Amino acid sequence: MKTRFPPLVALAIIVYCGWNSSGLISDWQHDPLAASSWIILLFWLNPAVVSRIAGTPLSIPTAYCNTTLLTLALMVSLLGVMGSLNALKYASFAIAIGGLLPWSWGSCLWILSALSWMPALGWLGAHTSPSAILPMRFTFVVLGTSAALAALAYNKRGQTHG
Amino acid sequence: MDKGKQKGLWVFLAVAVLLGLLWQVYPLPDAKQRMDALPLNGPGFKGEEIAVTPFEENFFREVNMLKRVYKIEGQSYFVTVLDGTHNRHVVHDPYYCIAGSGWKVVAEEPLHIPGGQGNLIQMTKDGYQRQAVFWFSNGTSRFASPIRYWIEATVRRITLGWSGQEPVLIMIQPLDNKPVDWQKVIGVLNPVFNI
Repeated sequence: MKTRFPPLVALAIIVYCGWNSSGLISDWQHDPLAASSWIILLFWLNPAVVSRIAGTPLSIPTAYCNTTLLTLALMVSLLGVMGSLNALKYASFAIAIGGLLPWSWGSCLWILSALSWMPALGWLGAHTSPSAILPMRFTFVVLGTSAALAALAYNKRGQTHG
Repeated sequence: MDKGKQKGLWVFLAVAVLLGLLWQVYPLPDAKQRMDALPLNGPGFKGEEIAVTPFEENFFREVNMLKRVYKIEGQSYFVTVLDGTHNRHVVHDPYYCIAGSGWKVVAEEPLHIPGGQGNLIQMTKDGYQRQAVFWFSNGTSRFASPIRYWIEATVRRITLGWSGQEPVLIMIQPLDNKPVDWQKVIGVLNPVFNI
């Protein structure tokens, strides 16, 4: 099974944004409203992983990465570091990973669905309905990853049928 | 991605890492002086420092924390002040902490306090009822909005402290379930509004 890696600088930016998002680990350990979000994150990463495995129906034909999203991710992460605001750091990580997929309505929804693994969703739920937080996480991640995978499949079909 | 774009991103990444490091090591002035100015005793109130638990010592490391019990006319009030200058992530929206610890807010109303506004909340858990008043203070004004706290704290850090003083979270909770005359408590414990 051959994987297709994006340029090294794209990986470096993802690592940088991921490093800045390491506060997530503490949230998962101590925050009851963010519990099991690490499972949601692993699920959310699916489209990025699936598209990089060559030879599978949804693989991207080239070592693609979105320069605009990577630049945006860097800016947002830097702002998050300067302002010490975790929400921005987590958003930058989502945008950086989102840069691994071709831009489409599906990838846009997928990036937005990153809220599913962020503590921010727990904050919203704390003000409305704490018991709905976990179902909301699962709903958002399923919808987002489905949208991304559907867009990949549509894109692939477009290439196959010319 | 062409070589030119890759080079540009490498440069931007290097600049981001450097700027991030600079901002993280810059020594922001904290609110300890404001917190230490709160007297332990005064007309109508008598206070006692409460020891920090091992869990709190770890969880609130790098956080200036004031933890006292004040007695006012036979009733005891737990007063907490949190200054997140060096670790703002532990200063949460109180509603988030309340929900996270299993309490449910059943009522809330704004409470006029000197210098602005706080929030009075009634909460319940396992049949127990409790109430609390909280607000954020930046040394000039008092407000109950966590969004405003996040904006002020974030802008303060981006501007390296030039935008103003650090907003701190202040919470007062009666230790029992007796009715509270909050206007009287506010009037007696007036120095807490100077933080």
